[in-house]
Amino acid sequence: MSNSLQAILQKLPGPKADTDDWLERLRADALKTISSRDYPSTKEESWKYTSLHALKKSDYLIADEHNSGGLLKKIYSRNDFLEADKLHLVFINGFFQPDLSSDELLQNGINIRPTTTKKADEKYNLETILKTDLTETFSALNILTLCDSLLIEVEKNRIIDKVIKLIFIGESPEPLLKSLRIIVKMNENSEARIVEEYRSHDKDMGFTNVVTNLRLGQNSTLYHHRLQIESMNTTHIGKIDAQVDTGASLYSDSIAMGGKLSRVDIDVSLSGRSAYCRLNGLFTGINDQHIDHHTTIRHLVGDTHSDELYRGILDDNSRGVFNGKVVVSADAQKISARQASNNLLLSKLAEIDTKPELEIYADDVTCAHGATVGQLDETALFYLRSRGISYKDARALLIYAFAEKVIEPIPLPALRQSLENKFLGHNQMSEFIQQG
Amino acid sequence: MSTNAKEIDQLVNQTYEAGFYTDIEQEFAPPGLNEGTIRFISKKKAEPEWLLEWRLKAYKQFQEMIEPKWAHVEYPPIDFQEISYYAAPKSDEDRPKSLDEVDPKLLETYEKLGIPLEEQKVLAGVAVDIVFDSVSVHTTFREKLAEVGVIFCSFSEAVKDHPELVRKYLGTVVPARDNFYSALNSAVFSDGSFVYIPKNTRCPMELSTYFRMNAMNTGQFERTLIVADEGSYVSYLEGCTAPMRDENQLHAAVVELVVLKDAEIKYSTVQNWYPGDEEGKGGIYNFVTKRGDCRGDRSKISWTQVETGSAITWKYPSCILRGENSIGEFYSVALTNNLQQADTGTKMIHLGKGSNSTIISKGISAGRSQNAYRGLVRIGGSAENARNYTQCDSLLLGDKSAAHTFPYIECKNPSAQIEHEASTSKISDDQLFYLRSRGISQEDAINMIVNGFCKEVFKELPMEFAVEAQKLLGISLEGSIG
Repeated sequence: MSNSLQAILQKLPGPKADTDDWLERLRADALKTISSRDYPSTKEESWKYTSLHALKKSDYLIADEHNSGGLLKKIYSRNDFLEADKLHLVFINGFFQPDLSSDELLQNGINIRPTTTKKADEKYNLETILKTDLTETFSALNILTLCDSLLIEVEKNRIIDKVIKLIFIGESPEPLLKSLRIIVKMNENSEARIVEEYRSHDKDMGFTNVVTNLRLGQNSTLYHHRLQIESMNTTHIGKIDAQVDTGASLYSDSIAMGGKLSRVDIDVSLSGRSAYCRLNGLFTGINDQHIDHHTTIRHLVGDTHSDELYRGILDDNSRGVFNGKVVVSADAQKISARQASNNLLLSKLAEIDTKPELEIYADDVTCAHGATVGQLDETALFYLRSRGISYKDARALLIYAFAEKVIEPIPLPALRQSLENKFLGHNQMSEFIQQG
Repeated sequence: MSTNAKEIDQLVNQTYEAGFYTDIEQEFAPPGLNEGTIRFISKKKAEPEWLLEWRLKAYKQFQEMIEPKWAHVEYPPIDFQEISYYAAPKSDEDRPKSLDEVDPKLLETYEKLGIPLEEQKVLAGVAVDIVFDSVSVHTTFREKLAEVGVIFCSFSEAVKDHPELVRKYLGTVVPARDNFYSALNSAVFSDGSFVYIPKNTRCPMELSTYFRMNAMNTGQFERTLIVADEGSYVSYLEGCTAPMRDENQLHAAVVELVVLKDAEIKYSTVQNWYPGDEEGKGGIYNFVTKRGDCRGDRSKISWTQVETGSAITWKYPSCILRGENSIGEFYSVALTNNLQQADTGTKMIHLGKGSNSTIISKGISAGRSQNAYRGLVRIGGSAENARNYTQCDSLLLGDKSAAHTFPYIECKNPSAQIEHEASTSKISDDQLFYLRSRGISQEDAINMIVNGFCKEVFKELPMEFAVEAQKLLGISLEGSIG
């Protein structure tokens, strides 16, 4: 059988003799799973609206430490990334760059391990975590072609003041597959803020396949902000798998603006009482971008709560897809779940496909979802124009107003600011907004 | 409301009311499905060659198709070779012209069902086309309808008397290869109803068909075709009951509606087939394809359904809104109890400019049942200023019941406005307390709340149907509340 997925698998080194290594065993399983597959097709329900035709046509190299695919920009310095009150870690083409990252990674209460060796640490019981969803094509591919992985552990009772910022840069002139793995372990009563930022050179041809595993221990709080602003030639497949224990809260933002094809799957299990998650998302599409979000929130036990808000803005002939699923298990009583998907179509050729789903097996629940598709309000536009604001500014202002509902709750001023700038540009208008 | 309560009290522990069996000699096709079966059916009905060809083509397509598995329902595999595809009362050769000629046993059946034909004729002014098993045996008010040019007859009669109309419209809304069950239906359909409303005619009465499945092991494959010519209007009622049976019966009907310029069809269904017993034994499989095509400008289709019966309900009455400013409406109450499963909803395909659709769906799940709303709203690129409003609410009665919502929204036009809301909850303690504190019994209170929950849909039903529907809800919920 020969297809582009199998072509990638053929580039892998053969199975290692050392079978005691659990990671090798896991890889053997993963290989067995996908050795007769192709990329998912649109006939599969979860890929109904997203065609992977582009992936099927390309022949990808697997990223390695030597950047055999080449680099577009050779020189970065640590100063390019420095920001106040932030710890930053830089990855280029899938590999950790210690020279460019903060040098004080081992701080009080936090343990950050970029595992440059492919074998991860036994202590963290990574085997169980890495096993998750191994039957999915992209998760299996992730294990098989893993570049660097990163483990972040926050100690018990610690609140980390500094924002942990992970910067993943694509710099490849050739089609290059980068598989990344981020594991975040929040111990009891801890709190942290993490930003995952994916960006790339204008000419980057990368295919990022990243899996983030979040494990929130009792009463911990995690703010997880995912920002994807890769260039227009890239493919981005991301997965967040989160488990939220008793009393813990997960605040997740997924902002997707880049990539020719981008797909993010977010799967949250609320597994202890009083667990809470808030999933917010914002996606914007221009040109022929295709942006897909699939989220699943599983209320596994009673007294768990969730809020979800996704907003999409589609221009030109871009296409947005949102699938939000809320599952309430049998006997999980006293649940509240709210979900909203709002979408703005700005062009005749843009398209949105949204599907908010509820699957409920318990009766004492309050679940609601709403979905809307609309356009800019003509009367609001007229109001602004009549006050002397140019059409361009008025339009930008209204689009920003639509996006603000997702941007405004982000607790990181720098990130909020950069998003505002993206919508409003560096002009008087944005200053006006910021002052107000 | 107190009347309702009394009715419920009376019906405590009562088994399925329509569960009896009429012993009439039948002419069966031997169980099994092959070309021979199809030729047998076609010959038996003395069909023209073109229809036989059409059936055989559908059968070919059916053979190439795979049974769909995507619905949120579970059932043991169906053996299509076990089913007998044709059963007709013996009196097929010389059909009765008046009631006196009708087999008294048949009349007795209708009596038990509470459909006294005579009374209905006089009081309700409803023409009833009764399908007893597969062949239409009695049609009333034909003459009166003929005066204004309305054609309302069984499908086989239509094939004989109006072949040009049937040929023109058959399979144009639901093509044979549309899906697995429509292909099966197209190959083996036995009979059904045909309605044609001529130009600028308002049908003088509500048309009604009572389907009734009777014989053991015979799938019912009805075919309904309604054509509303320009500027016409018709309201069509469909209601069903079936006798108690321990083996699952498959019902795969196809309903096609064609609406031309400025015309309107209102299609109402009360479905109360045998749902199986408390353990989920028996019960009807109701896998139906219903679709309407708003071909002309300003045409309108309104589907209203009350689904309380069947072990499994799997149907999506849909509208293709092709004409400019055409309107599609879908009002549904789906109630599941015990181990019933329902996966139902609608599709609104907007193609015409200014097309407008409304979806109101109310799901009630009790016992250990599964109740799913599955819907699609698709706005095509050419549908300027299309508008959709969707509301689907689920009410859960019982901690083992389940309610699901799967709405698909696809929008390719920026001028469209789509709103979708859904909620799932149980009866709130506040509401119950309020009613209880006013001296209303628990059962009455719940009944009242459930009826209120469904009010938006019931008000769309013709009056006599609305009463029946309310009764049905009370009966179907029996034993599940409190």
